[in-house]
Amino acid sequence: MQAEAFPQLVETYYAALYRFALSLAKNSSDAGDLTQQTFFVWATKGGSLRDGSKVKSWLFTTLYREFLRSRRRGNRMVAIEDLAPAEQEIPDVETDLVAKMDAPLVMNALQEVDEAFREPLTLFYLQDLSYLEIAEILSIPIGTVMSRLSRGKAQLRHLLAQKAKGGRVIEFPQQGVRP
Amino acid sequence: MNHHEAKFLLRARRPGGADAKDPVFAEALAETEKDPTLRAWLESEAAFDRTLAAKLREIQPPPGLRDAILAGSRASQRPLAWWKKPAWLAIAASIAVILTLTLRFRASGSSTQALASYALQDLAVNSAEHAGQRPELTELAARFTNTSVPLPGNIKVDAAELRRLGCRTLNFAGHEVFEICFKRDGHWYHLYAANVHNFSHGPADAKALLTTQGRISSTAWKDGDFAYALVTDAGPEALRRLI
Repeated sequence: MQAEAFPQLVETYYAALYRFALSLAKNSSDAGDLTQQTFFVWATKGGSLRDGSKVKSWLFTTLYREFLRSRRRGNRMVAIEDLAPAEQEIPDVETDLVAKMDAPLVMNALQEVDEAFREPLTLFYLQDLSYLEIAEILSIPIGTVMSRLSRGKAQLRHLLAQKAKGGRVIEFPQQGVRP
Repeated sequence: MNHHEAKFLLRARRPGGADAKDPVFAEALAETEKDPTLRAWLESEAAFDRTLAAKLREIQPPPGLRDAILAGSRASQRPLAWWKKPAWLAIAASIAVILTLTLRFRASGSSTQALASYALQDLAVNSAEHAGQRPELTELAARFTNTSVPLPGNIKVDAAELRRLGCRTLNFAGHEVFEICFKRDGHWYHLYAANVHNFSHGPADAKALLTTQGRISSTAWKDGDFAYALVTDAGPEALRRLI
């Protein structure tokens, strides 16, 4: 890719990559580092990518690999078999309720979803990627993507419901009375 | 296909219609046409997904991240085989220079000029490490970016704060040296700060030590607490405007 195209590439994808990194790393500092590192890898290796339509997928795959490399996966990754079975009934969280929640609170709920489910869920919600693209980025079968999306959505709704309960308006103390 | 199977598949379908032609969802979608309950569920699910996606997109990257990425990439473009990289030759030469500086520093006592030479060599050798700034330091760097007064005499840094924020720290002849990178008028500048007691010799006037070596210019000065070196590859005139 030509040098002058690089700023355009950064402009187009850096925010989306940062959000993906934030959902994985769970803190702003590491998310920023991961995003930077992804573009650094692009600057050194991205020129070998011939298919321009694969740029987005390449960047997200690279960020994900850098995330895995940045920590010991085996120690922290929750084995899918260890996870609780999916709930039979997905809680009915109203769309209006989510619309009224603060974005950081919603992100916080997403970050609490088990990692195996959070990865495809983030790519689905934040990047509008298809289940096929998600499977390619995460190197998992299509059926697994679908299963994790379904279970991840259930978990996310549970967490959003909890956050919504915890975030209910507390009555303001009467004037002149210290809480 | 029952409700459970249809819902399982349709949860992987993007709400914006991007998957409209995907045959994987065709049968499940056909079920929604026949079943009003399932159709209502799908509409509700899609509305929820759209709202959630929009909410998450409100999260903004920290200020300065884009500039840091662009600055970092400039150091990495046109990669060569490691053995062809001039940087390796420069590293070998500069290690010798830094070693000489360190020995001279230890032999003749501390000076702001030694700090300036060290900073100049550090920027020349480790250019990849000067690729922008940690997000935690953005606010601090903005103080230097936004000020219109000359930096000498108008800088206030705190060693404890710099350590807490994770500022890049170097070791020069056993002394702690902090580096703060900031951008002004499209150019990167690198401010090195060290305890003035370790670099007490030399003029307080930054103009007295302004020098250029290759494409990098440097200067140094001191105040009551710190000795400073300022380096840039933007040229001596750009550096002069800051002092």
